[in-house]
Amino acid sequence: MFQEFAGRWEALSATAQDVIVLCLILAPAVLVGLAVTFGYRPLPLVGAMLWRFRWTNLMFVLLIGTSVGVGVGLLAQERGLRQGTARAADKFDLVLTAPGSEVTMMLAAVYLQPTDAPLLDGKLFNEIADDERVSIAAPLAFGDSFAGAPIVGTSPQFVAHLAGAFSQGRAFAGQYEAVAGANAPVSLGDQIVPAHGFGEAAEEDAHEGTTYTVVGTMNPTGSPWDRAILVPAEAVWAVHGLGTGHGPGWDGAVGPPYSELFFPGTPAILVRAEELWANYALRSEFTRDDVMAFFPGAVLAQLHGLLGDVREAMSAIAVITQILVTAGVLTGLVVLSRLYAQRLALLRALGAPLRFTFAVVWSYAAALILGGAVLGIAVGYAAAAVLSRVLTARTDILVTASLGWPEAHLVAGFISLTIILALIPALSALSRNVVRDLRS
Amino acid sequence: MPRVFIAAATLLFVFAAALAVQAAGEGHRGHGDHSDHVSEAGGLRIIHAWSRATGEREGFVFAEIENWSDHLIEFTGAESDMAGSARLVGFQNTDGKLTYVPIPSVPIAPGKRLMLEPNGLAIQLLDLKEPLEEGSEFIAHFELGKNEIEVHVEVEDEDATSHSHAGHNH
Amino acid sequence: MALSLAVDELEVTGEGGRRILAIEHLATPAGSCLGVKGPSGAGKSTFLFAIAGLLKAAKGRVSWGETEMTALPQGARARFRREHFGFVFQDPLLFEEMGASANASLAAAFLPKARRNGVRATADDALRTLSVPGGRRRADTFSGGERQRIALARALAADAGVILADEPTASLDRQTRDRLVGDLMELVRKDGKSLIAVSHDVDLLGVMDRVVTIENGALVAA
Repeated sequence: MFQEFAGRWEALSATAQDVIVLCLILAPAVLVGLAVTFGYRPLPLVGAMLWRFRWTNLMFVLLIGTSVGVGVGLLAQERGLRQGTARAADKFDLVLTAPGSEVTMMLAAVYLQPTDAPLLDGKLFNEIADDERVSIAAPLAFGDSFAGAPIVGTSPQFVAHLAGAFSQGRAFAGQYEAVAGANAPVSLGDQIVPAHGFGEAAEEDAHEGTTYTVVGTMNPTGSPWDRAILVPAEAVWAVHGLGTGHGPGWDGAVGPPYSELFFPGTPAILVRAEELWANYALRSEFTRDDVMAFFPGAVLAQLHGLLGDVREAMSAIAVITQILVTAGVLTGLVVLSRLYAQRLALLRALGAPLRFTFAVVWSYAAALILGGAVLGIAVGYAAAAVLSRVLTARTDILVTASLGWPEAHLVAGFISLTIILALIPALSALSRNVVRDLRS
Repeated sequence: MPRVFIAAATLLFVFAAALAVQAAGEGHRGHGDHSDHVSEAGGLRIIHAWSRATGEREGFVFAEIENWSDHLIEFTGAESDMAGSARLVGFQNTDGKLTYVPIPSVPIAPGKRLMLEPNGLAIQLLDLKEPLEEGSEFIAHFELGKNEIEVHVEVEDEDATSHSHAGHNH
Repeated sequence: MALSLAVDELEVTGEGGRRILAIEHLATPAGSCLGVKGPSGAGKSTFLFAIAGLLKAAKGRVSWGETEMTALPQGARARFRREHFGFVFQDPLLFEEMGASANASLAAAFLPKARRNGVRATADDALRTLSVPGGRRRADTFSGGERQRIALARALAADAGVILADEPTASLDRQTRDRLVGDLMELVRKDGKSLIAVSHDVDLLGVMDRVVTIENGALVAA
């Protein structure tokens, strides 16, 4: 029985499952609503109450909306951050570095966070580059910068792999040519002098005498590489007095093959395999004492798993906040409905059924909750959109906020729970003395 | 306000990274009987097959496969009585979506080893017939070329990142 | 349908069991107009709420036609009120944010669907007769006299056979009071409804079929 049900459930598309879950979460709210208001027309009276206390109601809706918005925004932002960081690592199938922390090396090689890393030698580089399963093996030689933008030495193959077509110009061909990321602080034709190191510690004049000419601008990738300046690895090596990576008689064509003997070393190698399976075989074979191979996607998944735990905790706090705020609002409604007690008593005197009076007060509360929930979705979306923009500007990782099913389920759950809580002020409005209220 | 959020997000990330590093350093726990941790046939060795405890209908099997034979072996998947079906999958980052995708087969060259591990290559068990309980063990058959090798899969903690004997030399 | 009223040995107690109303016997035929007068705080309103079933009798009987109101549970008393009674209070108790029409046809919000249109039509008829403009104009923009006439239309909208009025003219000035008394009596007499009006207003009491006096919670012999 359960097996059969579970089988059918899994056969449904993800969207169908999400829709069904949403309906199930909303079902209690809808059923309570139908049961309370069936056969009546409380809306004009609810409208009158909403208008009568419009400023207080507006406050309540703002309160609910803000608390719901925080939850919605948090969920949307967390997902946007996960997707953005993963998308930024999309081009990095497999990365080889010296053994150490995968997280540190991923931050350095994929997200261009400065770090000091030991170098991999030419023997190793050629071992991976010559492997028949490998289509691209590119050195990633970081360490220099220009105006705060990282300068990375690499191969023309990597440039083509990273950004595809150029928005302006062409790929670098000469040793001292450079291509710029979409948001790098340089323009086509600029002549730039690299600084050794990064930020405060950058030595502006260490590489005096070296000048790169920007010959191309890459299309945006939504990653920190958009701010980077890419140059031939040969140039980075030469600037640091390490030779060119090629033996005597080099014809000046940048890129592999490099000479094993004259290869100065690289902190990281990006590897792209012809076949999907080969990535796993290469990772197995290049996880050794002298080299570490890792999937940035796998490291991210591990980090996201931990972020997920934090999200769970923060979601729980957001939900509790929402419920507390709503409980506060519902308490406020008890007070407000007291101000409306004479009209409610009139209804009772006219012979309105108890359930009708109940329906008026409950619908009033439900309207505030629904209004707050709708506002919350808008607030959450806006907050996530603003935050995404700020994060994108600060990190160069394209973070986009979009509302998804988890937020829909969160808001639906909030609505269901609080709309049932709204039965309490409705009940309290019934327990009042009709004659006393009429005479007051 | 945005500054506060950025600071919080950064802190979170750093915190998460620290935890990840720490978690990666663990996983080397107690000793025990090794006899079931190694399966051998036709020059192939399968070491430390393990799985995570789960109540879901999907699970994953991880292991190390070593090819000591003198020829290339195609690893095509596995099967187990525990699951309706099982298949070879690999963890992929496709436009920001981190998921397992099916892999038809992986060749293992002579003298090489292949690691099946979380967020990498794995055997995905579908339609699990019963929950995988931590500390229990079940049998799977790895399909390697013409060989079908019986493997004892140990069920580890639901958050485990490696076999609890990983790091031993058998 | 107008109903006769019979009250026998009715007692209503207030807080702490203090007796606040004791009516040994009172009866009026269907379709008649009964005025109730007496000093303030003598129990006139209590009498009105008690015969409407809004106050629970400590003992005794209140019967409307064949129905013994005092024997009915709360829900049934409410149903009896919405089927047979129309109310006019000293304060019109309008929903200020709604229009005259919506106020007059208030009962349509909770009466069964089959009766809604009838209630709305009757309410609009009554407003027309009372020359109060309907439509969406908010109730709180009307004058005091108009507001009380909206309340009167509300009492008539559900075709109640009995109108219960508690000081309906007390908040009005002389001129509007005269008009309301005229309107009230015309509409009540036209359909042969019963009217029980608690009032100090000599003009209103003057057009009743019969007037009783309540003092210290008891009927005083005329």
